[in-house]
Amino acid sequence: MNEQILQQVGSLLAGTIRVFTPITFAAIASSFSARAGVVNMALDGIMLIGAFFAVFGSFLTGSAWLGLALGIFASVLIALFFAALTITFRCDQALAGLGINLLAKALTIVLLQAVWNTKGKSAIVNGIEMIRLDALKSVPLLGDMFSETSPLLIILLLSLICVYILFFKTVFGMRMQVTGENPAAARSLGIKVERAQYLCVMISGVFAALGGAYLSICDVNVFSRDMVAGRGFIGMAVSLFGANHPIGCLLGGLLFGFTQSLQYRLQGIGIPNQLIQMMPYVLTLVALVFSKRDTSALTENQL
Amino acid sequence: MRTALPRGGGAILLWIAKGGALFSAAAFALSLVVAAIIMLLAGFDPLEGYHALLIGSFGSWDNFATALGTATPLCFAGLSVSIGKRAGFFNIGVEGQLLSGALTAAIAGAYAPGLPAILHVPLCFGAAWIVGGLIGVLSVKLKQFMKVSELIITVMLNYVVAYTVELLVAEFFLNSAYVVRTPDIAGAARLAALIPFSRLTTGVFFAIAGIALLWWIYEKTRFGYEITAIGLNRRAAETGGINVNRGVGLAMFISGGLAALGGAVETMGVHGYYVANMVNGYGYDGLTIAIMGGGNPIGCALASIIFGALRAGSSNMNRTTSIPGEFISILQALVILFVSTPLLIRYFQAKLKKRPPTTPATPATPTTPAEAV
Amino acid sequence: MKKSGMKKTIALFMVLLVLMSVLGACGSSAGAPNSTGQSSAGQTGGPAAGGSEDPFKVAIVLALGGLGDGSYNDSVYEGFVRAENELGIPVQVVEPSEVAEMQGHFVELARSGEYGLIFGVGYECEEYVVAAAEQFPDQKFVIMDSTVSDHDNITSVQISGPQMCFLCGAIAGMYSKNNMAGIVMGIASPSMTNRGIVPYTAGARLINPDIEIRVKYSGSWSDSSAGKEIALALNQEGCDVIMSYAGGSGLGAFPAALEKGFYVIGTGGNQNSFAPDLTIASGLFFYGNLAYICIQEAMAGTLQSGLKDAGLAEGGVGYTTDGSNVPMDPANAERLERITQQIIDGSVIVPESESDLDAAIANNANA
Repeated sequence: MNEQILQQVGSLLAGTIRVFTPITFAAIASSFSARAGVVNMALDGIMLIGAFFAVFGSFLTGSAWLGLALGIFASVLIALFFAALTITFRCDQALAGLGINLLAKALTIVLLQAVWNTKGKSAIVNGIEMIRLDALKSVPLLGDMFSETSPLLIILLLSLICVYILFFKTVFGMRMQVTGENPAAARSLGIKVERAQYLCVMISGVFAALGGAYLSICDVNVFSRDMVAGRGFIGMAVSLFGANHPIGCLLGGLLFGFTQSLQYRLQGIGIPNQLIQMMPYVLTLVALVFSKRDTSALTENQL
Repeated sequence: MRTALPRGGGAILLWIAKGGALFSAAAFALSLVVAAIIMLLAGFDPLEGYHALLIGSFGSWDNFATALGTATPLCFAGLSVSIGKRAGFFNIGVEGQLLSGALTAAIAGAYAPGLPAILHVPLCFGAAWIVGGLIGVLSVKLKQFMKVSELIITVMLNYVVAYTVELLVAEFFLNSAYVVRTPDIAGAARLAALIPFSRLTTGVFFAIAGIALLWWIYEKTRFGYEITAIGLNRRAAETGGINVNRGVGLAMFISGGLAALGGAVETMGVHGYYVANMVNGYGYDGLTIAIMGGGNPIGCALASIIFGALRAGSSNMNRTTSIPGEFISILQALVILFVSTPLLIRYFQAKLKKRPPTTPATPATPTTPAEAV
Repeated sequence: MKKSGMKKTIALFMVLLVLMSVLGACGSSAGAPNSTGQSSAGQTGGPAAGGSEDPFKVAIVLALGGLGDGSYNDSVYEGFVRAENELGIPVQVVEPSEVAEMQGHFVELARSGEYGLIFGVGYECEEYVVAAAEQFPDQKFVIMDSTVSDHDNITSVQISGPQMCFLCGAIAGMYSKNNMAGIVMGIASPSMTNRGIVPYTAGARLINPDIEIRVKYSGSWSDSSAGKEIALALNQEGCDVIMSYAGGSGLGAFPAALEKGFYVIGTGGNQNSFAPDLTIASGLFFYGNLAYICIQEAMAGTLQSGLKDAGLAEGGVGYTTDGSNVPMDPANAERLERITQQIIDGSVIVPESESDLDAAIANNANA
């Protein structure tokens, strides 16, 4: 009996990690961009482009890592387009975000049709191989979570550390934050505001690509239309939950991943499914109530 | 960066005369060209597509009626977002509020039999408004209480509302073993179709009333002045003695109510009941419409007609050509991106003339204000 | 900024109006197809009324979700491609993007008078087809998956998804050693329950009266990652055979199977190649064949209005093990054949609603 419970919990935690990975990539992407003063609502679209081109690259070359590279490249291009529209050409940021989301959705379907002659899904491609840590297999909970680890999870954790260092321990990070909080002050300090913002949006695109590519070439090895399913917005919500701080993103992502994973497992116990399905969103709101961060200074300029 | 509102037709004509319209036209042409190139690359004939698009939206009274009828709920969504934005609250929750209004109107329409139309229609509208408005107010209260951006609150609430609606329909109001829908509403609660089969119903008059309502609020009431002040500069408004919390709360009650009316109009006019997927995506279009419309009700109306025309035209293109509808979505996206980008054409124009663009020296601040409440 | 935003929209609007006349003139001289906006002069709908010189054309309004749904739409579309290639018939495919569009499509297609036969897919479009059929009595309609039977110009092809699910359930019953089989679903609806879960359960219980069925919903028709989570969760609860019945989300069941080693049953097309060593079979819809037959009959003038069965007996549904490496015991294969025959002759009942489930199971146990 105990073993069964341990197994259930292990499966729950393993699911948490899987759900948490793409969402947290999206959260980092959102917070990177937001700290520099650009609200990136195009994340859904950029993730979708990344997901598509990762699969396309793997399809062309047979190598999932080359596919990932292509996905990142394509996402950075779209992010660059977004940056140009909002920073140089002064398009409203939310509008540009929504427009790019629409563009990405339609474009990926057109490309799907062009490459695989169907509007539904691509061919199955080589995915990113999981790292096998057989030593952990017998460990009760950790084994379920980590005996097969995605390389992208490792990249995610490293990214969180790097982003933390970047934001708070480097000059670049400080400058970036000044750019976001008070562009006029930044300019007077000699910071090239537009260039910093461009850079941040493009880096944000890299993280979004990683999140989207995780969904396609790591999780299911296929691209199917609209597969991002709103995770860009969830990622944005998580980054706001975490006050645009890498640790906050990590915790927020874990919370959401956990509740979503829990929701899948609780279905079918007799309560109407819709109540269970709305749990992650309700719990996120509840968690907001209890988290004691004063984000009034942050949100004043950056949403 | 907000500036004062335009003072009416005269200023607009002057702006057009100064060539401001040319920039928009050029941007529109650019989006047409880029979309055409994409179509050509995919092996389709863009002229055929655009012809079908135009005929589908303006080519006959039936089609124009369809375009207007499609624009009606979009207009409500746009008005909803616009008044929220006015008060400094970016209402992504419009999608959920639309849905809640659609269901509420369906329930009020079906479960209050025997009422004459003069009572039943306002009952449905009123019920829908209250439900949507309360969701809007809830979003504001949560923001005030939790001190976080409304982006996260409204995104989460959208999911909660959507699942709640799904649950209510599945458990209590289901009318069919196959289609997810509620019972037919009473005939007295229906909005008459102006042209049969065209989606254009008397709902369009209510949309016009909504436009007039917002115009009146913005231009003629103290409340309108107050929320504009709050949206421009919260702190200043507070020091000036305006009750910010109440102002934003009331603005969002109206915002949620307008969105819910959009859903109600679809239920009462087009369908006659609530059915799953009936207002899918209208909320996000509403966000786009509000911003394209520049926060002005007339602008919202025009933008929603453009969107309605694109949808109706795309529908016709689907029906008369073999070009997939995705290309019109691409065109729509490009229109959204290019036409609303102030400096796009100016930039190219300046490059051609080999001098730097005459941009104002304002830094690229986020243009969607949403200060912590 | 804001005021220039609105002005741009005004300008855009005016530009659209101007463009209308320009492109309208250009386009029609460029030989664009007839606009169906205007009512065709003097022609009402119907093949004969269109004049014998006009080629027979068909139009189809697909269900929401469009092509690529891996289900009804794709299946019906195959038949149309065949009609285009083999019969030389031009086909107009319409993919509505929202429910409210559908009515307009059927009415306008009928109004144009160009189409010998107009198809609709899915019970969601029933009421719109009926409205158009009443307005244009000379226009013939076919609805795939419907039960409308009282109109002279409507033929309803009763597709039997439930029979397919029943067979899949039987297969699940044969292969489950844990006495638990699962289904990955998209979004809950009474139709999904009545025509998916119920027959699947009945089919599984026919083979294994003790088997338990578990169902979970991914919340979307296009979220493959969610589908994978659901499949893993079902497996964690004990399901060792899982049917994927969720469109794009269902794709996630296959990588889940590859990770954990449970069996999968595909649906909507041959999905056996997604995980050949673990996918026992795929349930198929052959709606394309039926659509093709309808077109042929309409051309010959022999298409009957009313109900047209399209279940196992008519070759409307079935399953395939092509591409699967999972060995099937000849005894099981033979049993499935027998069950198919019993469904056709009526001795085995396929229930289509929760209230009929127990009675059907009891009946089938004695069959």
